[in-house]
Amino acid sequence: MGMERIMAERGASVEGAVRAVQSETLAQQARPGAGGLLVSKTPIGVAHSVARQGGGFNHPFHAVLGKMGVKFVVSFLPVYGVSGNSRCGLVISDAGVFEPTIKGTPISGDAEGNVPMIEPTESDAQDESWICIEAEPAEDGKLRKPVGDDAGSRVEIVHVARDPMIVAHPKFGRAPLAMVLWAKGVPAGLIPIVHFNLRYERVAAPASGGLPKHYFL
Amino acid sequence: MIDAPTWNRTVGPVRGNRWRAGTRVNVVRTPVGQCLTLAPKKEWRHPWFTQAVWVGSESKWVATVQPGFVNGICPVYRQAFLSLAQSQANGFGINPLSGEFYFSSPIFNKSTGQVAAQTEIFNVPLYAQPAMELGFRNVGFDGPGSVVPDFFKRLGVQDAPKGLEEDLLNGTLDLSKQAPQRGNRLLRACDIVLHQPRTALTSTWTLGELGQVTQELGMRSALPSERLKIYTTPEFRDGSLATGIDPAARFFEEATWDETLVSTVFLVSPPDTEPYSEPDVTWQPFVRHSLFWNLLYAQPGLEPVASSNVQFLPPLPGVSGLLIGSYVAASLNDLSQQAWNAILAHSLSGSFWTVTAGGSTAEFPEAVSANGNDGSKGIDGLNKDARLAAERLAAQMAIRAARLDPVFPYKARRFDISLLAA
Repeated sequence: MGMERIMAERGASVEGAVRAVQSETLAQQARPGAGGLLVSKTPIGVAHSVARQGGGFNHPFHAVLGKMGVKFVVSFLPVYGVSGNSRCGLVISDAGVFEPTIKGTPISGDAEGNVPMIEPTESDAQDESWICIEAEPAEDGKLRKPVGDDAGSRVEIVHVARDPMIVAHPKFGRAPLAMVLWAKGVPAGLIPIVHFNLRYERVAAPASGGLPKHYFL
Repeated sequence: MIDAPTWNRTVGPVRGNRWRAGTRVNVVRTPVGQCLTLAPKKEWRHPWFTQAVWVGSESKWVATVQPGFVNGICPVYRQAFLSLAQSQANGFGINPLSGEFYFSSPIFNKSTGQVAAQTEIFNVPLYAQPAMELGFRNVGFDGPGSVVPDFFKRLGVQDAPKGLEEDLLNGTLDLSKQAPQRGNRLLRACDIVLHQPRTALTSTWTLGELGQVTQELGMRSALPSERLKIYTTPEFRDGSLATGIDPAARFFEEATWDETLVSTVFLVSPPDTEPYSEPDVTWQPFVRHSLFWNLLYAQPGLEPVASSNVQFLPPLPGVSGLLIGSYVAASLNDLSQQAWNAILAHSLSGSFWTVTAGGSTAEFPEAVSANGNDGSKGIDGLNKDARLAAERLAAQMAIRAARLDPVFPYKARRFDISLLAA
């Protein structure tokens, strides 16, 4: 009663005092800062968390193995650049920058936000398989973007159970992005192999014979 | 009087703003405020990250290597395992009375009186984290002729004493000069090597009737049992590089492998350890890496052998004794050099590189030196920006000097642009 009387004498109300306390409390409220500190607001307090250190970093072609129902699928984490663009990994060539596709859909997702995924289907005798990138240039040996009816070149991410690296081939080259480890017939783990974007270079077949070479630098 | 809803509205935000611990974060409350304490940061383990571990049960140092890849293939480590149980079993099973295998008693082993243990070699991939045995070389005080890295000199490792042989010859040996100084620490090192099998080049030259020399170049595959592997050795010497060929040898063959250093494990002893001591648990491990990223590997194009026949003039005999002798010797040298040039030109030695999208300039840029390389930025007391930049660079270089490895993003292998030649 004493407090109410004092506040009434000073022309203040209880509601005003409560608002003052609340505003001061809000001013002291913890907020996330730099360095990836996560602040979670709960009714019983503010929890502070940081991501697990030492596990890896969000690099181009960072593949993750997830489980959707009974299927194990591999998807690629988006990489956010300084300018805010979202890409999961790029292939650079003399003809420009190409975003690889999975079954025709760019790996960062289509216009509707659907992100493509790969389902590992089989492994080799050592219980290993690979997520690979394949680049198949046009007939002139250049990577070409689709224009009109021309489908352009193929820069695609595939899953293979053998031959993760193909350099000499009449049509395309292949390089591994990640290895899938299998256990008891199902994918059990995934190890990243490539940590940077790729540069594609094609070397024409020598005049004396042989096959063209496809290098990923 | 403050009613309950008002009280709850007041206390609720206060209670909700109380700091609580989360994942890898602890809250310490002190009279002057609250402190957030983060869990110690763990270093990201890059491919080929090597760790030395003391195995107490076997009293030895072993190393584990984070899985790395060459062309998407994970190397294996050939590890020996004792298959004692298999040799004891004999296919008769276990005796329920003794709990041991039938006929496993030494009385049934008439030859030696002991149960023979078989050693089997298994190819263990790196992602299974095999424990690799380490054999060390002496570096420092008890390793004459070795070079001690500066990093370890700062830790108290001393160079080997010099002039021991001269003093012995001259009879001026002073044992006090040859004794280790107080606080000396010993150093041991072991190399971990990546072994990549490949097709090798062979060369054979023959002397024809008219004195014409024909050199034939061919190819030889690696043994079918050879595969991409990793192994340890006290000191790595790249055996795939030959320095020349013997003029008298008509057949030359390249090594059927390429090798590169993965990392070097160092052990530093406690101060004042007796020279030539064996490393034990009291020694401190350090690792210097040579590889930081996964690799791709390719060999140069295999041109048809028929086009690589090299013909050159033979030595000409029959002028005069002394001249013939010297001329023949010179011709043999010339023959050797030409044969060697042909081998180098057609060598099938491959190269490793790291995918960085950087093309032929796959090296990460080095930081500008602290004293300013460009010269346009005068570092003096008036140019504050340049002075601060120089101080930052000097601090970075000091941090680098105190490490065995470069900082992230470490170092990448350059792509050999000769592979792009059609």
